[in-house]
Amino acid sequence: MKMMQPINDERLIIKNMKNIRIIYALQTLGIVAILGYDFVIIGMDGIKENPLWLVFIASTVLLAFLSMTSDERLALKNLQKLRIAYGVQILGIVGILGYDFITSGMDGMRENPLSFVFIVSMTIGAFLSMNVNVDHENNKTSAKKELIISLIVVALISIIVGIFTSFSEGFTAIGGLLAGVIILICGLIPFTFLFYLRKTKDDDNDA
Amino acid sequence: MKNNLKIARFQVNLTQQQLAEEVGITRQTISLIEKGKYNPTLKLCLSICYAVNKTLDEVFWVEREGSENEDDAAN
Repeated sequence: MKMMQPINDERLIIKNMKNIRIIYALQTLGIVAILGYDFVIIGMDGIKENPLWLVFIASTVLLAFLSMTSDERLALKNLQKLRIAYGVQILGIVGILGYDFITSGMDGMRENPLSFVFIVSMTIGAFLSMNVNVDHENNKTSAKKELIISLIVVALISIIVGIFTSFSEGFTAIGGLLAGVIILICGLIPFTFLFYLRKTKDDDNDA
Repeated sequence: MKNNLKIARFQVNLTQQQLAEEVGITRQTISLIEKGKYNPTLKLCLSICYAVNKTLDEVFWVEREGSENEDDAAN
């Protein structure tokens, strides 16, 4: 079974680019919020000292080349330009967070509010791409069967993590239970969403 | 955009999945084209036409709204 297949479907390629547009907008909002906070607290100098300022300029300058038109060729070009802007933004964010990680470790990276923006945009990006992946996958098994298998795996992982956490030093049984429940809930959400997507896909099947 | 893809597909006895595999796209895209909810590119239209052995005219041609009245007026 091929695990990674290139997407040849033009509809899915456009859908992917539209998803990137949403993530780009979210990330830009996050960056604007961080820079705005810097401006309010420290002033213009605070913004200029933040390397995020450069990322913001580099990734938004491309927007000036977007055309406001209903022409389908230019609309597609706009999406391609936004994809480049998104790439620049991601490179900048990863660069800044990577620098924080190298100089001040994991805690230093977590202290940067940009890591929150990054995590949120990546999570939303993952959920949006599920929609494309479900269309792209060519599974013969039913959505229900896949949900049950996924739930069993998630339940097993959460039980194992819960047991190991409760027996670890510095953790109580309640801590272990909490860790297990958190993993279970975090696993349930994407798999339930996937089930919903696969179910609507199956219902739509008109041979 | 309205089209005759569903009829053309039935005429060559293909399921949505089979047609999609032949053209190299997903079944959902075929379904959306048949429902008129997705406008395919000319390249994809041609690939579909080759697969169902029809011309572009037969599958994707739709009469312009009010064209009959225009013809009457011209005569």
